[in-house]
Amino acid sequence: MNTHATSYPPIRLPALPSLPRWPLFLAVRSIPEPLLADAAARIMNRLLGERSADLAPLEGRRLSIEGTDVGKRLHFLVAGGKLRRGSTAMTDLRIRGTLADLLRLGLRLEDPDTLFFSRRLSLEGDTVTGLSVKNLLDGLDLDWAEACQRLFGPLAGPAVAQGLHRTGVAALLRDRLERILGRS
Amino acid sequence: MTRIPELVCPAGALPALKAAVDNGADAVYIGFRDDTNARNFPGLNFGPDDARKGVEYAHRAGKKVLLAVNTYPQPHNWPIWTAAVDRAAALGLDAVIMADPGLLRYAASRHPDLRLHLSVQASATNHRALEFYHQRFGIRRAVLPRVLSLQQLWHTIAHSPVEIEVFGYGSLCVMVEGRCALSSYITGRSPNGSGVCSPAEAVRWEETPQGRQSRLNGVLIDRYGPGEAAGYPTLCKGRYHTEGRPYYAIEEPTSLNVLDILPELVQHGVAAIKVEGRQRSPAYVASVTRALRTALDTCAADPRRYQVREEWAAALDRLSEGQCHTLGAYHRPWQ
Repeated sequence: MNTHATSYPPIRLPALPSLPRWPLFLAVRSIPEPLLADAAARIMNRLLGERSADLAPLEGRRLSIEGTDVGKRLHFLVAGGKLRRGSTAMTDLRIRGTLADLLRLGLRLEDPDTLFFSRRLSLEGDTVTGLSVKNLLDGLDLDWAEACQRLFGPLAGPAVAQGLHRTGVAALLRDRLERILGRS
Repeated sequence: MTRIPELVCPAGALPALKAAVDNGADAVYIGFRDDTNARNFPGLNFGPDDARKGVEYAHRAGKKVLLAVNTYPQPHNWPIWTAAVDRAAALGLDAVIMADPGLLRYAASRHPDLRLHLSVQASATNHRALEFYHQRFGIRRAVLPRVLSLQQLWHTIAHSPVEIEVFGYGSLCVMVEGRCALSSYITGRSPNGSGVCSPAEAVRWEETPQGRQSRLNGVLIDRYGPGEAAGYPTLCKGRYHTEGRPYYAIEEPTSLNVLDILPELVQHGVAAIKVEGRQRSPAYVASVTRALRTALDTCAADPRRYQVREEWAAALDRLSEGQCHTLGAYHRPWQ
């Protein structure tokens, strides 16, 4: 059964000031690049799940992602249908931006074209790879209903999903993230 | 009672379709993952499984899904296009948006119950052209190119045998929309045949000491100084040395936005308002859909007291190409 068809009034959130972002920055700064890349690759592979075929057009491609304000550059490689930590050798695609903007991009809080046009994000290298990465992120279907079905089974899953949707937990989570990253 | 136009929003993938439905779209338009539609970009669009899920999602919410099969097939690849039409009928899509007369005829004879919309790519700009498509293929709606002034639009609506859909928001095209072969000058491909103006493999972005440069098949299209907003790397939106200075000689990177004339569009009987941008993200689709939904509902409640609210305009401008907007050809009184 569908849990999105009925729209529920969104929860009115109190207007709180921005949350501090230094703990996040400190963490990213203090963790070595290979560990960060490993963690990011693992999360991405998990999110892709059954859609790992979407990575096929990127097979053999090397990407680097650089947080300009945190002094970190992560290298990735797509091999064997998975995203993996890569070496520091040549890259096909180089993505650069501030940590907050890279997170906005990865968490889909902001439109990538808007970030790119407003010069907050830079993409250099192979444009086919760049567009494939962008469209891979945009196509990730983070479906509460399906995730709950996997976690709680076909009977309880839909009910749990509906409950979560009703509480507006997704909106709440999004709001918290936006407050940490600062509204753009 | 005046009918409120249907809000037709773009989706390049399932999350964008859900964002459109959740934020108030009446219909969502999509394309299959091949060159049968005019947004043939790597990794974009719907495979068979996603298309089925999308239709299910929208229909449960009481919304429609339209499919764009709006490029022009060639003799050697004709079966790919007819297969797309057959799949559309099998999936239960609410309408197919098409331009090629041969394909329209195929759909009309093979799938008589399938609702047909005339794509903007057909470039029909007068009611006699619409009459032809209506008589021959039974089209029910036409999407008009963004080249008509408001006076021309009112005249077309008044005499049209079919519903009229107009663009309401999004990046603009040059004046020969639907017939443009400009990009093939550099890349050998054009939107009508290959579904793309600037094929990704021909695009190169470079960060140089002079600023960000975009190249199309090696040809410098534009250079953006530090902090200057960038645009799509299409030939028509480049800056060229014209009479000694670099200038947008063909088209400026800006977005169409009809918030200012919404009551007039409603009053003259526009059946649907379309948002451009199947290549954009779910975040874009959500924001634009929400802003236009609110504007349309406000207009419906009391068209005479309708006023553009600052937050709608701001939300739309932020996502615009060039980060500014225009009424485009709608306000060209000399036409």
